[in-house]
Amino acid sequence: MSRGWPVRGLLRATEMPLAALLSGASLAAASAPLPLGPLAFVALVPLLREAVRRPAYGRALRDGFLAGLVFFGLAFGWAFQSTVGGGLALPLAYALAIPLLASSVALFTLAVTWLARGSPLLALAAAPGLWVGVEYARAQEWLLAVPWNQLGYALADTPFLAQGASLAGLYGLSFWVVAVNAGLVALPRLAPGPRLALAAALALPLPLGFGAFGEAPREDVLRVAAVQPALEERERHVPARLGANLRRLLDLSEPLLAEGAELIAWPESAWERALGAGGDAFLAAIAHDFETPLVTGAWQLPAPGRASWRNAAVLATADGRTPIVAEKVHPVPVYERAPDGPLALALARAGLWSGRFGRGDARAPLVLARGGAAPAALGVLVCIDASHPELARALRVAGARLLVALANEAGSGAWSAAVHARVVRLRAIENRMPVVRVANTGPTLWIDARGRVAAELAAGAPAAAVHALALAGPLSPFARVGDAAVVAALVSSALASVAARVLQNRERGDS
Amino acid sequence: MTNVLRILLCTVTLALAFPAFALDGGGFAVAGDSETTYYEATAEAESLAATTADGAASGGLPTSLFVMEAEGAVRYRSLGNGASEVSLELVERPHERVDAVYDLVLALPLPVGSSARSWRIEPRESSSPKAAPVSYGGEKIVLKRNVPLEKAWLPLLAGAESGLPDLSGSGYVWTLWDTIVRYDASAGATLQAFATFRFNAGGAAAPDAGDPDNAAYVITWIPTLDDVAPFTLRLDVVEADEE
Repeated sequence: MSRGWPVRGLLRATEMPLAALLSGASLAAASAPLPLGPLAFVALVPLLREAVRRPAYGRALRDGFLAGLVFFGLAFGWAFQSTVGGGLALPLAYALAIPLLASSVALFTLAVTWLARGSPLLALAAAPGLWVGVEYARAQEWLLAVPWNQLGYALADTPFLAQGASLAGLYGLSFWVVAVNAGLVALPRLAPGPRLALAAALALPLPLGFGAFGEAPREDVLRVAAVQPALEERERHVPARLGANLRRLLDLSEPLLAEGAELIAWPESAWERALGAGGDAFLAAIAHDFETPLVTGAWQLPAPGRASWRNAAVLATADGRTPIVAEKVHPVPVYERAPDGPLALALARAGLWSGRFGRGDARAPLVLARGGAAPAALGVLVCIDASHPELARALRVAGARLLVALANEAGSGAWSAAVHARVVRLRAIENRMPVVRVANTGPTLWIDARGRVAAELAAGAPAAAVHALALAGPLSPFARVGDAAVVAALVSSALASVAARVLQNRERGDS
Repeated sequence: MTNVLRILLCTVTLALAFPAFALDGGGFAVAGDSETTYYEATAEAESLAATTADGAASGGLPTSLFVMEAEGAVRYRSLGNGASEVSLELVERPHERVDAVYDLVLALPLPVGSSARSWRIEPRESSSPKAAPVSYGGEKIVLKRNVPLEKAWLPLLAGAESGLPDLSGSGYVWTLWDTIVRYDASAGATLQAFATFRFNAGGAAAPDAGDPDNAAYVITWIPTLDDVAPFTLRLDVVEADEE
């Protein structure tokens, strides 16, 4: 054995972990609420480059897992800012969820490595579909119900790059991002002609970005007032503070009445009296006094025969009605959601599961009467429901022309709030539908149908304002066809996988 | 817990807490101590709590009132040609010193079928020293007729044992007027109201001042005190020419 071997061996041994660490850190940076979103276009390059070198399966699995640990471990770092849940509930959730999420990256890396044994180029061709399949699956209730940090969100703060979401949605954007990563790994392996063709194909979504510079139509606008009370988590839903918290909401709301607001929006669970079957007469009296409809988050008492509460939104109108207009379909596991499975019940018995809210039912858009104008249908989503593209899309398809996203985030912290702000920008682009995000601690945003922030209340301080947004026009292609992008991605991966296997078998036959 | 039991509980609690209280201008004056209001007393006795299951079924509306006589009056006056005017006067009195948000509700009998150009009781501005505007804790307020509240609340209150008198058969009906107000400690320690409202009653006679059921009620409904009957001032109907 020559003297150079141990050094070379050491380098070789650390090469993959370094690539994994680099990819994981880059993915986390692109997903963080920093102006680094476009980094996503190269974040996977180190990991993919190593995967198509066909390492041993165990090593591919290990390094994919390491990349996932770094990615999700950092991207969910806001959990350490969080004060919700109390006790060990949140650290336990973090400790359980991060390895599970990292496993998804490990499986992705393993699959690419496996396919690369047949054809590195086809493995790279399959990579975007594989990634999207994994991202989609982990967001679903039947798997992990974790809808955060999909790569498409990294582009949301750069509307020029994100307009493709109106065609193919969040997962279409993720597909494009991973395709660019894979393309960058593939380009040096291609002849000049195919190289140029691939580069052109990867750049195809860019012209869509010019839509981000278009003027929004102004003929049919809605003036929406949003109130950001900035109440600390420890001050909310404390019975002795109910009057003081309500006073702050009223103090912030009343000056807006002279500004022609057609709807006033308060954040998630801002109305601190629990709602029963009879609604809330005092809330109705407030809307009557305002002479303006008021939408606010509120907690709904368990209905007869139902054990759990609902985290809901209610519309109070001057005619005395207080109907429920939204229920949180996806309460946050552990600290918010009522235990609903054997593991959750066991954790609850051990004091490690504090949630008490059941899964709500998706609601139809509310219809807002407007003096002198045609009624407007509006969709309302509570908190992380805005992270589920299918809910916003369903509201849009049902006729909603503006989405109101109510959030709190006082307990989960400023970092998570900034992540959610990114999320709703993409919902606007996907559905070509304006969004008003009303958050207790902010940022509160008025977002136009192209994902541009038309107005903002800075996070952290009590504030309120009225701004007009042009209501949505025709349905976007994504609103019409939904997750066709996911299906197309999975089909493309399947085809590439089959082709890779065929090539692999042919190579074996030839040898 | 039934409403009767709630009222009994409040009464007993107050009696135990203030064995020597005396009524004085709407507040509870404790011998040798500064004046304590109804809400100050009951807020200590009752826990500030989210709505109860009973309250939730009725949209959180109270089902009884804690009524006290107040200095002041309601006068109905015919203006001719079917037009009428009702004037309200609530003499200066200490208001409830509880840092809370209130729905200030006026329950006012009006002739059946009354109409009005605007269902608002506006503050009356005048150079006359008597003509103070409708005010609450220093804030000038406009009372707006709240028909949805009438539909929801009057079935619980009208004719109830601790609610409003039953006006059926009198030719008059209850109307509710309200506004949301916030206690402002810096605005002074008194509540005062003076306002008029013009309506068309088609020549209906003014309510009989001799009938004890004829009165207006100023209700202070605090949503944080679900188990406490709202503090309510009763303003008797007096003849229009009575001073």
